[in-house]
Amino acid sequence: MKRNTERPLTPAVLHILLVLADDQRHGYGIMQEVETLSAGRVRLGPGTLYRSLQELLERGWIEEREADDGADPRRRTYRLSRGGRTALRAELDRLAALVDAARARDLLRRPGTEGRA
Amino acid sequence: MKDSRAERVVLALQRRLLGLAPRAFREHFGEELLACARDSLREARRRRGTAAALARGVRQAADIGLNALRLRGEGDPVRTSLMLLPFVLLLALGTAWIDAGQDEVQPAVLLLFVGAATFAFLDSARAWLWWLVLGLSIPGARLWMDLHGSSAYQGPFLATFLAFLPAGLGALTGLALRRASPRPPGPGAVT
Repeated sequence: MKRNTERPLTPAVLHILLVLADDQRHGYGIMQEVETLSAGRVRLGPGTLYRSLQELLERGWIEEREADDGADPRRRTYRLSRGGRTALRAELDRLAALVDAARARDLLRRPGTEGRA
Repeated sequence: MKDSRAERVVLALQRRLLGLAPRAFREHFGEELLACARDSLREARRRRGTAAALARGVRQAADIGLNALRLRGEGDPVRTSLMLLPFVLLLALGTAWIDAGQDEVQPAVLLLFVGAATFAFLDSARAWLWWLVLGLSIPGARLWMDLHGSSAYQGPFLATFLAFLPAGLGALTGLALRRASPRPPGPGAVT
């Protein structure tokens, strides 16, 4: 497996890639879905969102598509590219390894055991 | 439901702050970004009322302004510095004016520290310049007043150069915060 030498993704970028993993969305849709996915813990401001989208486009991790004819021309949609999916998986692998390490040190309860003594 | 007057003011502020971003970014994302911000504000109004909508609008405006400046700093550092310089000069003059009218040094020290930290964070490449300008604010004011026969400042002239200390500490703090802040590909969530 190729070693991931990228710096860890920030919460904003990680969540954007996550919500684009299953469907293409426009900017406001990304903003809403990130808030839903994170249960309100991550809220993207529009400046943060579009600066991230620009960077992700430059990296080739997402692709943009102009709005359909007749639709609001400002409603561009974005979708995950193959490179973005690879980057997302690498980051999730890294996080999963961290969670496993935390569980091995008994720092995390397994799901379904919360509240037990 | 139409936007209230206050909401229209906030939306106009957002548009103004977007003007700080590089032209290429504005041309590509500008209208879409503003539409997104407007939709979010209206959703907040629908769910929690006008006050909540305005609060979100103000937070979004800050988010837009901050990211616009960061984009500007990433793209054209010289222009960013030129944009910030008038604000630094204004702060230097304000600090000197406040210091001349006070017996206590704490307000001026605080302004120098926070000001240098802020500008060094926004434009770390010119942290030395912000330190220099702000550090010279008090000696410069002292020199000006002495030349014009004012007795607002007491004590040795060299003591005014102590202003370089809080300005320097502030600049270093701003630099450290900038280096510790998340790097591209993604800024952190703001609101």
